[in-house]
Amino acid sequence: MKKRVLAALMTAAMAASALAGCGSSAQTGATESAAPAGTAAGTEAASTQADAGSDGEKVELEFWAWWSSDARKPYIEQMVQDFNDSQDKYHVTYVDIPWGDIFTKNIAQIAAGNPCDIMANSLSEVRFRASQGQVESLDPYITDDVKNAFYEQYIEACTGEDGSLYALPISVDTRVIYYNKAHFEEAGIKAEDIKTWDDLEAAARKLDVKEGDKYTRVGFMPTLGNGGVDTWLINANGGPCWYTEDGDTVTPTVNSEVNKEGFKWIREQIDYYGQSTYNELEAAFNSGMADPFASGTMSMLVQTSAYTSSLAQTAPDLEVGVMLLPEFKAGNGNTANGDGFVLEIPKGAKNPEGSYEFIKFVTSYETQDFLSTSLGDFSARNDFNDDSTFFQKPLVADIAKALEQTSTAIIPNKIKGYTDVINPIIDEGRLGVTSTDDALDQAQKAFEDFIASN
Amino acid sequence: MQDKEPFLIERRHYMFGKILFKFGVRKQKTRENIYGYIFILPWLIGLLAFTLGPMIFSFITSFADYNMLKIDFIGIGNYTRMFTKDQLFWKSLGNTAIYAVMNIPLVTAGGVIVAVILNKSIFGLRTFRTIYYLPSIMVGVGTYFLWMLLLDPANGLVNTVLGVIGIQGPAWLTDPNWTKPAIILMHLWGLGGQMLLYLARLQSIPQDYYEAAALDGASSFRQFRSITVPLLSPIIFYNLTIGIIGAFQIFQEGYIFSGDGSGKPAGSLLFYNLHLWNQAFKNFKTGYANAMCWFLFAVVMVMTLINQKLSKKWVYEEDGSNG
Repeated sequence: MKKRVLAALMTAAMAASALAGCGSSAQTGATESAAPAGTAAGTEAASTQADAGSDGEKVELEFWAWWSSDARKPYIEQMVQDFNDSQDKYHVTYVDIPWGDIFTKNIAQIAAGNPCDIMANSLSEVRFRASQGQVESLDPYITDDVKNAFYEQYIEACTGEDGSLYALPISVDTRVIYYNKAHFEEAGIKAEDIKTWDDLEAAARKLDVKEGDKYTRVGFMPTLGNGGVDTWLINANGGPCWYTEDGDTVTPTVNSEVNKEGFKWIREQIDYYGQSTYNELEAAFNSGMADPFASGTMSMLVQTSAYTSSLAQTAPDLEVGVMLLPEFKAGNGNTANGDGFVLEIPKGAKNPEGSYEFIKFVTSYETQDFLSTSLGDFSARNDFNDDSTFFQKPLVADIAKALEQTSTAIIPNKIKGYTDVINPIIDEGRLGVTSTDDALDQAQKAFEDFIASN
Repeated sequence: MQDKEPFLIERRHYMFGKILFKFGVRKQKTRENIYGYIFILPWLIGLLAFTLGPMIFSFITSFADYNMLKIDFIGIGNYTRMFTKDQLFWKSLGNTAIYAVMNIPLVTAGGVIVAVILNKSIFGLRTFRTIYYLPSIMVGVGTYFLWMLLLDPANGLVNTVLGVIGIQGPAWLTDPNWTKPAIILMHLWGLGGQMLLYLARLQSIPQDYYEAAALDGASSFRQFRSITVPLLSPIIFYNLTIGIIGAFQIFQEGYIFSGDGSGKPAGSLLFYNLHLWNQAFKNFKTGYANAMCWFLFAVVMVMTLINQKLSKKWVYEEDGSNG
């Protein structure tokens, strides 16, 4: 018995020492991550890297993103190479991690006190991540000339509730309607004549082709491609469609009259073709194997600005044009919803100054021009004009007009997660399980309950 | 005493012996015990650091407002929130339960039937067995994309076949009423793993039982009911237990088929674990997600215990311990 106890004790002691080893390093990491930038720890890190620089040894930095395809990765690597060649203080390595893993991996690394140095992430959630303490502030490094080079709305999206800047946008997107030029010509339609939702519906009717009781060509379905119910209701409202924000107060407006009228119109478009036609088209888009717009089965489609590069691969010969989302009613504006991607410094990164240097380089005019021209992404910078290389490419100038009327949905932190609650209910209205009015009423109630219980 | 020890033990003695000797461990038997623990140490560290450690940590943080970076203890707040405030908790649990109730009996029955058929000497038996087992080794995301194509309402193979016999197939993955049956159909395709276990058991049932029953005039169905099923019951019980645990862990199907992890269409694919994942990694309510984990653990534990209790009534053990 004595022997057993002794053996067990020894084993436990060894295991405990091994665990304590892990624990102590995690603790150090946590302490480092807790130190805000610009404090003693930050200064120390900066001085270490300065020493390293003067010794001729470069500071190693890791840049994490998910761009791994042949269409993107070579350009991202070229950009990193350009940065490495442009100075001799830092050396950045690009690490691509699949989209499904990168965000959980990032937060795990931050929690462990060992994050990467520069992280790509979504624009619309910068404020949320900042409130959760996941990101370093850029305030100690940012200068006015860098900040002022971006459209105000995007800088606002990168600003936390505390007023600090936490990221800079690498690319932004918007939504437009892509149309098949040949179909338009055949039906005698001019894109510039489509000004309102009613015009759009009338054009769709001219574009439809029906054989027997089956549509072989569908003019337009509002919630396919990259358009959702919210895309249209944001357009109708000229901004956020599910709530209004007044100072600290958020008031749900899900079942407003505008939303009821707009949602009814969306459902009418689906009903016109019938649920089975809609389901078939949606399944084709979801599986990603067949794109009904690229194959000419659909004449118009809501998609993001990134769709241009996808079409160039799937249907290089297709003649397409783009138009702004039409106005709900004349004079209402052509608002589209959009998002984008940013670069940020994860909390606890060891060389924030070096990370910022890289972010500054990537968001500079030259690099943004290079990225836009090579990848087709849009920049959030306000100093691009018709003379830039990028704007010479087809469709770019047209899509850029939509960017000016794009609403970037920044969900207030206190109602984060409300879409999880209302989206399934709205979806029932979209799919005809309930009437659109009922869906909006139920979602309004669910949203109110959500606010009350959070 | 040491002079009498065999050579090999002497060598081991040199490996750790000196250290142990210094600690006063003089008995050979004690030293051997310690060697044993040293050999299992890698596994033990793995268990403590990567399984037990996180489990204890998740249990502790289930009582906290924890976002992976900061911990504020809030007592049982997460547990009360689950039952009273979370609007998607019951929906996600309900989706999971409906799926489990539909999936487990069908897959179990399917596995038994296929195994019984493939236990007969029919033409091309080996080929059929391979074909049925093949899906079990084709796991992963690729399979889900394959099924998205097979279940395409207009051009998918499933609806095309249904069309041939005059049935208009549903919009499997886009119609909220058909998403769960679609997943079950997919799982029926992958029942080869279960089938293999049944088949192995069937092969070990002595033919005399069937011959004796046939002489007594028992029909094929009666033989199946009174000989095959009781003798298969321990394997059915094992598969049922594993099946219940597996069904409550369903995640990937909802995550991939809904495209964005939201559980669409109309929340029909929002399974418990998907909701939990969204809470942990989208809304960073990790403490709450941990509480959900422990509730699921309790549910599965209770189900397994009930299953075990009930098994005494229907599982036949050949040693005569029950049945």
